[in-house]
Amino acid sequence: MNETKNPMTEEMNNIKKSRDPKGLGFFLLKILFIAVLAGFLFVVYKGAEAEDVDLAEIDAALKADTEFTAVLKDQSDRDLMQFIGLNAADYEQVLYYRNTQALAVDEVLVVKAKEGTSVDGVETAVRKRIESQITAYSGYAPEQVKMLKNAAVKKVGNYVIYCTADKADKYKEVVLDAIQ
Amino acid sequence: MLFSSLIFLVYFLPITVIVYYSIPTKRLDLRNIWLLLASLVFYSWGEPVYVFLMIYSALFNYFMAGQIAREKEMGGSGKRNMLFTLVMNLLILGFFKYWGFLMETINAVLGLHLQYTALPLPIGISFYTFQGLSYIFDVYRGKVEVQKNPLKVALYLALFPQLIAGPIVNYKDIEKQLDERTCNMDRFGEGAVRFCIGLGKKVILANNLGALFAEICLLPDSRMSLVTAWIGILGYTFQIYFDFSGYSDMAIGLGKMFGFDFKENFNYPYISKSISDFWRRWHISLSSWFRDYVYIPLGGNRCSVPRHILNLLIVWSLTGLWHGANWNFVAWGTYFGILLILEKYLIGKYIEKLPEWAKHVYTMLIVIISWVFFSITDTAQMFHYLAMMFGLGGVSLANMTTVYYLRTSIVLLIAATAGSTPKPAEFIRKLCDSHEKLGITFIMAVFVMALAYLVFGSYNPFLYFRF
Repeated sequence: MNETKNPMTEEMNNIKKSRDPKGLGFFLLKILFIAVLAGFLFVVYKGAEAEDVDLAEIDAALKADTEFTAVLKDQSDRDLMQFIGLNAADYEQVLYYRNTQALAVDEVLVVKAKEGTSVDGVETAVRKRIESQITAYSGYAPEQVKMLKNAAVKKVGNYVIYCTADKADKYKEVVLDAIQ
Repeated sequence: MLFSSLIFLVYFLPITVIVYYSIPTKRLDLRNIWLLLASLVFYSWGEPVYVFLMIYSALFNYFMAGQIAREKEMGGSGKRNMLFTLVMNLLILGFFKYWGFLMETINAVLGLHLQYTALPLPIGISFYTFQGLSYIFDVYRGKVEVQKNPLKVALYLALFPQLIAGPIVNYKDIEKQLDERTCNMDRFGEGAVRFCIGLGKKVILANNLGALFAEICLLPDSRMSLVTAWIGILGYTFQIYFDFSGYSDMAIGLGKMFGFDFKENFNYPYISKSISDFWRRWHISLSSWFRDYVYIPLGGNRCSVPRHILNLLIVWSLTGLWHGANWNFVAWGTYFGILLILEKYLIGKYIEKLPEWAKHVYTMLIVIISWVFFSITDTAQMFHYLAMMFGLGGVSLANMTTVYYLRTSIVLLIAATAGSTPKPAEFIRKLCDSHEKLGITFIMAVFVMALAYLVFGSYNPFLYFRF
């Protein structure tokens, strides 16, 4: 007597086959994992692409395209430690300008991290600087607080850009143009 | 997000604890889901994109472990799938952590100018990759049952207390706790005390010691002296210990608050009497990982002497490379590898005969010098600093700057020296046992002081951005 094929049995066999470690289903799953990872890495890599630019070039671009040197003064590594809480030796290059006048909050910081290191610590330090400045100026300097709340913070590749200024976005764009 | 940040202490931790304990004890599944969600939020705070990588890693390791187990059940070895999983995990780690280093080395060695982008490192990637691999290896070796629930694999990898600075938790140590763990007020209190002590070590001691070292590194040669150089590196020696062990204390404390028991990661390494002893006490979870999953599979010490020496050099170079994608870290690891080989085969028997104090001086001298390799990545600067420490950099023995740093940091250095011995911890324990209220007041004072430092201080470095 000929056995008729039971569709359920056949389906179960297919499922069993697909769960076979050496089977096609598992092979396809591995391909899927590789494809998803490759896609993600490609997107992350493209998104993080930033040219390897010497910060002296960014400094020159800022001086040429903005008027920030009129109010901002170049700061030392010690100032960077004191005001932002960052140790310049931990990074490839740092550019830090600050308005040193009383009640001024304007500052521009560009940090280029060393290869293979995270810039998360820089962003955290910058956010903390903004918060502490807002706390310090709240209650008696509304213009400064407004400026701090509009501060530009941007992470691109191994760069972190931070600007508190009237034209914070302009400074940010000049830096971005230089590195992208 | 960092443990030593106000956002964590004031918002994230209280909310996570309140919701966790609002879920009935019997619903551990829901508590696990809540912890997983909180951990993903914690992880995505700095860099939301990389949370995808974490989820991917969890799913990938979950599926692959399942396949390895199934293949073994069917009589296979599972070796090919294990190797595939190993390669994929190392590919992810290598792409983010070592791509820039590799390209830089290729350019330097071959004199090329190949263009590349070195990606920012996803925080904690070295920790969770190693945890994922420990799970895979243990499933492959049949030491643990495969986990059927993907959420538990994800929780194991992403659990926020140990996510960014360890300790590296092996799956076999946490397997049962994912299904059953005790959460009560005693354990919560014990964990909170441990967390506060860790926070104090990090914020009150490590940050100030780090600022001391950073300040000294910024001094021009004209103001440097031999003694100042030693004060600086002593500052770093204590900074890295209190920072790292402080983070481990916070991780272990947070784990306890949520019912988990993590193994100890530090056991007073600065009281060691030899380099072998030091590495049994320093970053224990990493040493154990390399011992279990690299050193022993390579043959360990059950082989010929040349092979054993090669095994040690491989393991210690890799240990160095794990700490950061730079040659100075490889040099740091190899330095310890060579010293361990020397202790094992040449000088160990002589060190044994030394008086206790001399053994301690020998060990600390080697460890302090190692931190120069570790802390200064630029080779020229590193050797210049070493030269100054030994009076070869054309600097004086001491000067007015030395007097200034001695006067301003002597209390801190004495406190750090005392704190790196078991005595203060024993004192706190006795205080808490005999005078409970006084003990609680002391812990609260440490917590408030740490908070004050976080609010008013500016220097709060994160040392693990390379890990």
